[in-house]
Amino acid sequence: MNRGLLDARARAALWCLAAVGAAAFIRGTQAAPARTWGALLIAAAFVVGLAAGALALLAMLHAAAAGWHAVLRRALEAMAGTLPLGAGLVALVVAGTHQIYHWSHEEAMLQDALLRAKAPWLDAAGFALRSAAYLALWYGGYALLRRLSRRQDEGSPGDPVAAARQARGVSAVFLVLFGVSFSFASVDWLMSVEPHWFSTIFPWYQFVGALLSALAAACVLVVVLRRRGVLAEVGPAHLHDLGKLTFAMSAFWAYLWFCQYLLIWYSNIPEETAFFVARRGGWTGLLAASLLLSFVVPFALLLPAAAKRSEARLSAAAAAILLGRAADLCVTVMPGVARHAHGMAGVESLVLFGALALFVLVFDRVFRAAPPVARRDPYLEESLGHG
Amino acid sequence: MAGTKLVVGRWDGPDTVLAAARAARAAGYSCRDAYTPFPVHGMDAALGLEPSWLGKACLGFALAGLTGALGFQFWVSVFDWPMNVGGKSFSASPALIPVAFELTVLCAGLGTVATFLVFRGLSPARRPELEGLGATDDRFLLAFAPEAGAEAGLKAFLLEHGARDVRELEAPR
Repeated sequence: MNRGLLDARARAALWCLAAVGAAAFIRGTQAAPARTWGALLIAAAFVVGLAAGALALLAMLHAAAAGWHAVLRRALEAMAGTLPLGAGLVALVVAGTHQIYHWSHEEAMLQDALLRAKAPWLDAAGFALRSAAYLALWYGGYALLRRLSRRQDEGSPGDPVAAARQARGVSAVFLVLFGVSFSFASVDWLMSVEPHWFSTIFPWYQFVGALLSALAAACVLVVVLRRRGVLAEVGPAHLHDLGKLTFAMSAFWAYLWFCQYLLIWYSNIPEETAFFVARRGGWTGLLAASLLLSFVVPFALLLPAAAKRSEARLSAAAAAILLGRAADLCVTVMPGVARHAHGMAGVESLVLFGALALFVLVFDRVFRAAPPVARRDPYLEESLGHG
Repeated sequence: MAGTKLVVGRWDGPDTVLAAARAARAAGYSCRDAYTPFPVHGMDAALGLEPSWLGKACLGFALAGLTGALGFQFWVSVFDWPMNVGGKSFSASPALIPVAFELTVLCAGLGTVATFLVFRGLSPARRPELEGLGATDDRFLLAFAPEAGAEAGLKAFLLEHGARDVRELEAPR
């Protein structure tokens, strides 16, 4: 049977953390609304990013007919299966549109020629509709892949080889739709926090950020599941491959961060530099922390081949990346919502950790709903031999 | 090495050759090398090979490329030919990073390949080892250099472990 990720005590602790987050959010909406709604957007982007990143990774592995990951697939599926939680958080963001997004203030729009020109897109009803459409599309992709994967369980009817073949086709189509919809979603949810500003590489940068955080979370979750003996099939070679992907995406994230920064710095045009100008002063520390934690620390930790096979090293690097993602999202969102720098120390962390506690709880629930490994997966033998 | 007798077994697939290599190592036969059409996962461990030091060479070349690129650009833009580009600083500028990045990758890549070729003695003039046995086609070879008198036992052992045939050859070079 599948014992899942958490025992009763861990579940109780996570529920407490989630309750604290919820209380902090409710109290914060009265005491410091701008900061608190910003914190909610950070938490929503983080959690949706984890699910969407895992889903994209899953689809890529299916599309590439990768064999090595067969023993890890249920963990990735369970991460993608937290999309309803992300949808709930995004629904709260939509409810708080007026508190979060400057463009939702009609009087501000009317006085501003630039925003007037963007009004057809930056519209509260359209924002809500588009948000729902992105999440529905992604959940549809997840549900299809999950159903095909469940056909590979022991005792389920249907041909497991045909299911693998169909999953490949579904993934190939889904990846195209996902790439386009995720680009629009990151413009809607995150870039429009600074409605005057634009950057064509921003969706890429957000996608790789989400994929990187999903890989890091997968490392941590898989290591814990392995320690509990639930995913005993996972060997050092599987961790090595997860580590290689994490290492590569960390470097790629830094590459994209720098691509965006270099071009803006070089051309030095006010409409582009506004983004970084607003992120100086009190935000510099968080900006540096995000680069340090998402790139420099994991690069140093994971460079030797043996490090990627070590549970401790891999988890440490993954933890750094997840903290770096939080700092990165905070620096992206907060200066556009709350003009004063507060760092991550207050309500931001409480709301984020509350949301992440819920993420782990939902992950555990989805993961338990199926056997930890699909025993009739045609790639399973290859994956077992890989470890 | 010339004149060394080699015992070469041939297998039909990566799994069987890997199992045979593990069994031979466990039985105390030291395998000289494996010749396969593609890299077989786990063969390094099965042959008992030490981790390659090529990674360290790669790091050395990468650091050389990085410092060389940064140093050269710094010298050019601060001492040799300072240019005012929109009031940006001459040194410590993000503009140095792309060139430094590219040269790091270029030096690391070319340097590692060159190191490999030099230390393995590979060049177009080199005569292929174990030519004509299908190692570049669809056969998986294990070559042993047994002590005199051990050949017969080794041959029997390899045939027992799934080799389709075993031959005795003169070592190349």
